[in-house]
Amino acid sequence: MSAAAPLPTVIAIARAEARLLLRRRSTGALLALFAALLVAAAVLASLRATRERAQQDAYRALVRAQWEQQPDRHPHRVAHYGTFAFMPVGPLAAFDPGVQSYVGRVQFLEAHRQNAANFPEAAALSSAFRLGELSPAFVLHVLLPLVVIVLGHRLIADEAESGRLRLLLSQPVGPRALLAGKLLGLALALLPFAAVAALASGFVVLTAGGGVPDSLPRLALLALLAAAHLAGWMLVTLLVSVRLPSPGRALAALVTAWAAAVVVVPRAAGALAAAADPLPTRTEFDARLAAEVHALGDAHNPDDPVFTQLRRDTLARHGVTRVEELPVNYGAVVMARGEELTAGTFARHFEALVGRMERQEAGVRRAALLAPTLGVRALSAAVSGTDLRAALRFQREAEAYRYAFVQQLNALHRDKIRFENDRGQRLSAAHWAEFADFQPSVAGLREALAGTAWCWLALALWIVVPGVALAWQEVRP
Amino acid sequence: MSGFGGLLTWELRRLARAGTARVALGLLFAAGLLALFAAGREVARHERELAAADPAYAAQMERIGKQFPAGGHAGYVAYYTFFPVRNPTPPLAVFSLGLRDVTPSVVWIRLLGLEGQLHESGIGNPVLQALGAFDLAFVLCALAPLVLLVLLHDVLSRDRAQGVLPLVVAQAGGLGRVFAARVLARFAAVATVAVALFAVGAAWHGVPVNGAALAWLGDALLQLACWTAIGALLAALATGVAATLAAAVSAWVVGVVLAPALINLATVTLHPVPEGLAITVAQRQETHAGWDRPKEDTFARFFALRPEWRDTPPVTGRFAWKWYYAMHQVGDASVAATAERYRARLVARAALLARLAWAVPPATAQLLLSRRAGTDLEAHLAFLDRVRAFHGEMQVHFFPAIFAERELPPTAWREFPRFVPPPSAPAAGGPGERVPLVVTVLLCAVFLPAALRRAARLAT
Repeated sequence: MSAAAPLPTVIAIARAEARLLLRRRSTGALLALFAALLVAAAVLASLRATRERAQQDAYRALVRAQWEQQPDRHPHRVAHYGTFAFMPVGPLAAFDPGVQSYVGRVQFLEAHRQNAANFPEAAALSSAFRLGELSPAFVLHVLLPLVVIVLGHRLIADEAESGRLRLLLSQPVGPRALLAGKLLGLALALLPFAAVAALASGFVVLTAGGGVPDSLPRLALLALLAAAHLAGWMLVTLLVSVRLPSPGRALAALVTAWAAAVVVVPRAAGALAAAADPLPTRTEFDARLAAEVHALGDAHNPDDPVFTQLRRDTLARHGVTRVEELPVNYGAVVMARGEELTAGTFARHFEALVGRMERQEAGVRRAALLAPTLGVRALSAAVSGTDLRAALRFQREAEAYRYAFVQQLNALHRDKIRFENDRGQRLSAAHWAEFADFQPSVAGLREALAGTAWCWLALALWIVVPGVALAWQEVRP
Repeated sequence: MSGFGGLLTWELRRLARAGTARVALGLLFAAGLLALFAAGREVARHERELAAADPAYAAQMERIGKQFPAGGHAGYVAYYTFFPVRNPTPPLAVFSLGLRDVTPSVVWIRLLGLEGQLHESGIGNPVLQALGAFDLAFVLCALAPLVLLVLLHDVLSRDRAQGVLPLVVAQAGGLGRVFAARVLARFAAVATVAVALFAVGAAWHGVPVNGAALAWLGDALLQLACWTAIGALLAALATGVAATLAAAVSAWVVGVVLAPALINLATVTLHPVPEGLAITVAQRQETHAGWDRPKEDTFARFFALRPEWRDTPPVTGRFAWKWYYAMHQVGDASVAATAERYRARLVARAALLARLAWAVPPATAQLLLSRRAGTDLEAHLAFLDRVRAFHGEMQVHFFPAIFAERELPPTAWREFPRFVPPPSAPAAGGPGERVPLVVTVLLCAVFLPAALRRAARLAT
């Protein structure tokens, strides 16, 4: 706290406080309850992630096998047969599921169409249960602060009530040393809770599969986040305990603050962000896209300027006068051009939609200044690779993969299928194995943390503001 | 009873003067107004989509008209035509959004295999969805209980701490009377805010105040009564101010945060729904396998499903639309059992939630309210059934022309089937679902006299 506090005194107070807190029977009960919840959350989350990954792996293998085992087929038939992209369950998804339950996990990829990712878990549940999924991250970021409050709300009040505070302050201890000692004592008493949390989180990360995360830095950062967040709660709890003399009022104030940070502010911020910048609906999005795609050009219309130009260019390049004389299949040339145009239009609309989603997200994140827990949860999801950006990354990569394989098929169609009796021909099945499999990537840590400045600022203020307030706080018996 | 009425009035007046109560009730009312605004915006977004469906359909038909200026084969036209199936937001959705923020209000389907189209997601921001909707049901089921519990904690404890409880009891003529008057006054204050918010919301968003709306309000108040009973019991049992508050906020944390999170996890873990993936993958495989199979095989399977087309002449050329749609029908049929299992799993989830409601009645009050509002899972499944039925209607309309290899005139789309949503469905859930809440109130009421006798002993 301040240089004036003699270290041995601080440590003595801290040890006494920690011993007192840990000897309380209610602390033991709380620890048992906490451990039980955490173990339940860890085991179930790990089970769920393992099961989901196993299911996905099985389907991914099945879909690949089905792709390669296709018989001789016309390439455009294959483009409509299509394939599936599965959103991977990352190694940290069991620790912090983030928004994963709210995004579709499977996307059907085919020619001409950008299908939505479907089957989000949330559509099959009730919205009454949206306060958070009971994951290790939820226990760490939402429930552990409550433990801090329960243990710490009477740190000073107890002393004041029993009259010991007067005694302590009359000795040459000083208020700074007293507060520092109390804070350290609370931190020591929280160690068993933190140890249980660390063990359970480690268990989840190791057993949920998907390999140990690429980087220890992620785990270190998650630990640091949780520690900083809890430190803020400890400072706030101590501050309230000093300022509100009755333990009942201190508890009520702290739980109200907790409820605001965990329940009220996040939801209210979400509602306001949605109202401020509403997303288009699927019907509106698709209607605008369809109108624009239609305006791009109509391959069926012989007078269409775009496709007339394409024909002229293609004929000129090969020095012929009729499409029938071309060495390549002109139908496939048209198809490839159409795909290129529609994909570009879709990308523009999609990025505009994403821009809105990210503006909404930024609005919510600004509210972290009022509710730092909100910011910490956002950071935790970002580090765990389970946030909105991870979902959008998957959707972009799935679209890029769709475009690539459809154009690869269009190229085969152009070069291997004759223009005459086009649909009556088939391409040898030997070609199917040439197609690369969909390989979704994971954002690096730096990239994953883009756009989280407000969250970091909120976390810093969460520690600095109560810290400074405590440093200036008078302690009166 | 005029004596008790006077006591109640006195307690109400005292509550109105208390700073904490005024701030807490004011904040609750403000949160309610925000909820009405936010849910109103969300419903307006859905209404916009519902209203946009018809113009979008008309624009699409105009494009198709240009594509087929002289008309076209029924199968070809149907291939390009998407039909909007609307799921109007029920009037009470503005109070209880339920699942409406994660389920689409309009599903666009073609005559192709339905199973690949049925579960198309709407557009939503997962970040906001994960935070949960801020609607009146949330305010009344999550925030109002906290206000109630905080208001209830000092029903006895403060007077006792100040040593004036015996005096107050003597003046009022019995501990039970003071206790009842104070508890009722607090319930009445919060219930008044709830009713006021309901009234403001009904006027603001034009919600008809009919039986269904009143049943919704009744259940919201019952849920508040349930928390009142819990808070009263805790207030009667605990001895100090701090202990009462600690017990009250613990009850809230368990009922509003912990229990729902546990129930959620239990439901998801005990009832996984792997069929979603299975349906999508299997349907595609089966549908497309038709291209490489002898046409007679596909038709044999199709005729088993649809014997009325058995007499259609065999396809001799490379392609025929009737063969194409038969493939899709066969693809759908191949996953019918899986689709049925998918639905059954979801129903099992809902049933499990209802059972768990018995363990923690207040935790599931929001669920009950979304059932009453017609925005719950069951209502969504009913909508999916309507989409299914409409797909059947589309087949009835198009198959005769497709099997007769008929060209449709350019004006044919005026006769195309249109989906007409049913008049708002009656609220789901019978009075039986209130039972857990009622039982909780009764249980608390049974234990209250004993707790009060103990409190009276301590007071004297």
